[in-house]
Amino acid sequence: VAQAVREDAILALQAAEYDERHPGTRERRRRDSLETLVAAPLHSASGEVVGALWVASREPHWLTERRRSLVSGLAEQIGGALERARLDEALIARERAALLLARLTETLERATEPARRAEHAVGLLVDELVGFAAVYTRHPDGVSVTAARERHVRPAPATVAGLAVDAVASERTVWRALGDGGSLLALPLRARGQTLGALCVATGPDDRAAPGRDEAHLEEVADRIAISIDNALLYERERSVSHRLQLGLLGDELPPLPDIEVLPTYRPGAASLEVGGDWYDAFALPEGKIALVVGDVVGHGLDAAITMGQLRGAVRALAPLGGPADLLARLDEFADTIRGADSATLAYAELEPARGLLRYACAGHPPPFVLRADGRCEYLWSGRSTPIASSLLAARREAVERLEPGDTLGLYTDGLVERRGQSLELRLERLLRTASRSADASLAALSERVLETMLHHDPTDDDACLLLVRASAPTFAATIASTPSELGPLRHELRAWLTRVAAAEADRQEALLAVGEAVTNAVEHAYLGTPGGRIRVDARVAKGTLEVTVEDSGRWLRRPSDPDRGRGTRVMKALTDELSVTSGAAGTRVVMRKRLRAAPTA
Amino acid sequence: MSAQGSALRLETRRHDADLEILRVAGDVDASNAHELQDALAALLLDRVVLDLSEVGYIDSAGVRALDRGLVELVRRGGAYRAVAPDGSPARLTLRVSGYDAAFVVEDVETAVLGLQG
Repeated sequence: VAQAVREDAILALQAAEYDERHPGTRERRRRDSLETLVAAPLHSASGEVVGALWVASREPHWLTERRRSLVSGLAEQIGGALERARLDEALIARERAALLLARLTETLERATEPARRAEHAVGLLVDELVGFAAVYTRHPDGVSVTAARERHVRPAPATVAGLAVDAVASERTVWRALGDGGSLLALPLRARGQTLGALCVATGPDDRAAPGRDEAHLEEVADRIAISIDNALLYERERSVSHRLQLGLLGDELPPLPDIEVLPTYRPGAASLEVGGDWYDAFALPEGKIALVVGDVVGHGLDAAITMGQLRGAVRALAPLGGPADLLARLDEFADTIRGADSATLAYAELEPARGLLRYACAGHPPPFVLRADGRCEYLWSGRSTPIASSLLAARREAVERLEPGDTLGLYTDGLVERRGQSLELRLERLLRTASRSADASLAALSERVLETMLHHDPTDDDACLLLVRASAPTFAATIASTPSELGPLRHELRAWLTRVAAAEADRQEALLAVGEAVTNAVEHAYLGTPGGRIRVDARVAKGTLEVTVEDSGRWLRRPSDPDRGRGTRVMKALTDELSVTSGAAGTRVVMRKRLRAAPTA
Repeated sequence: MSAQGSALRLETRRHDADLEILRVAGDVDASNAHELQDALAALLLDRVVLDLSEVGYIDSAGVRALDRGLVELVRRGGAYRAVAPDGSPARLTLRVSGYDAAFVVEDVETAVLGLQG
């Protein structure tokens, strides 16, 4: 046969010649009584010898001319058939390879983390192609296994790791035979000019893939895995950067603000792993005002996080220059300089807890809601205008609303209320209903209930942000020793507090003087002769009225039953709208009420 | 998540020599808002009525597309009206998004009259 192939000719041997040339197989020939032995080369279409046909007959000199042409014709047909079969096989193998690559791509994309992608890849390879597969990841000090799966081949881990190191170091596919007839391959995982690690696969003797024959295919598989893992690593890096940025922007805690309770909650979208464009902020403004913002920039990821950061900075810088509508107008001008800031929306509010006033404006943003202490709940539909830098920009508008102690203001982003296929109107109503049932709940409980109702029942890809703000009456409390030297420090503290709650300097001065007189009265009269007496001063502001209580537990030498009697009392009376003095065995209590003037800038 | 929304249909027709009406029907969200934006940007005349009365759903992405799609028209001094009857989904979204009620009207006739007047 070998000679027939070599010489590309039909060869015929008679029994005697055969026995002489092939003594090793002589016995078999004799057993089968073969007399004529013929070998004919098989040709491919291109004339290449691809094998040989072996014919034997019990008839001596069997190969007549007629039979020779028969054998030749037969060899030709068989050669053609063999080639077709081989082509079919190659075609099937190629199709199978293409199918596997397609499935691999699809499988890889099911996960976003690099390690999960490696797991998916080795799982598929073991299910479809090989008896063992592992992904090794490169580290500064070597390689470590990220994912491994085996079916019926169990190469020693040290052997696999050793080969993986070789593949990474040489940046080439390396292989070695395994004891049981199988083999182990390690292919470098390369992407963007870097070797990330190695893909190791092992086959048993009966596996479909075999080194040599399927190396090119396996290298394609390795490349696909490498690119996918590399993408995942890049994505992870970007994500961690933007998450860090967002954390830096949103912080987990807002600085404590006087007289209000603020609770921000941010919920990323259900399916999205990226940072969304929602942001919030709360900060103190001059004159005891507090700025509250919830905004939404278009887009996701790092770009959105950067835009958020710049907008937030802009809002903080521009807010003290004017009211809400002013701020929006300034942001419109400023937006040109911030990439991605056009079409950003925001709800901005300035709260004056002392006066129970809320001044607000919405730029393309859903309306804030107010939950009253008694459970009434409503949207603030005024003060509306288009998003930042809108092409359809009309004048910026703002509105004023009362926000008394105990009332809650809710600012949020559209992710909370917008849901495809659902009526926005119904969802807005649902938000109000949910809130109004939780009027006496803590802010944390209210936030939880709202998010649960609005998001949990209807998860969304969009992120959502809810900023709840509850005003409390500003209060002041101090207890001093009954001695004149305490008066100065007390006045100092009280003045600082009044600066926050009283907009007009005249109110601050008058209040300071009235309280000073009351405390001085107590110091002078309450504890005469008895050291260690204490005086307590409480103040609060509600509905624009300042209320101060000065209490002592001493016994006055001169009964202050007639407040007109003392000069100090006359001053107090002149400076306040209401004055009451009650004196008893437990001490004396002076209550003063004073309506505060509106802010001169309002 | 719900897939029961209806497909977006956009249809531009010329009302007279210098007024075009873009009729928008179906649902507009982030998945197809760019189509609305492109359709708006492709309007040639300086007076445009945007008929949103048959919109089943439109979200902030849709309104943003509307805003951006009208940039050129506004820049060249054009005028526009949006038709979104009271109680319609588009009316609410426009309101929630802060778009001035001044250019939102009840029906196409009012819109056309407003632009011609």
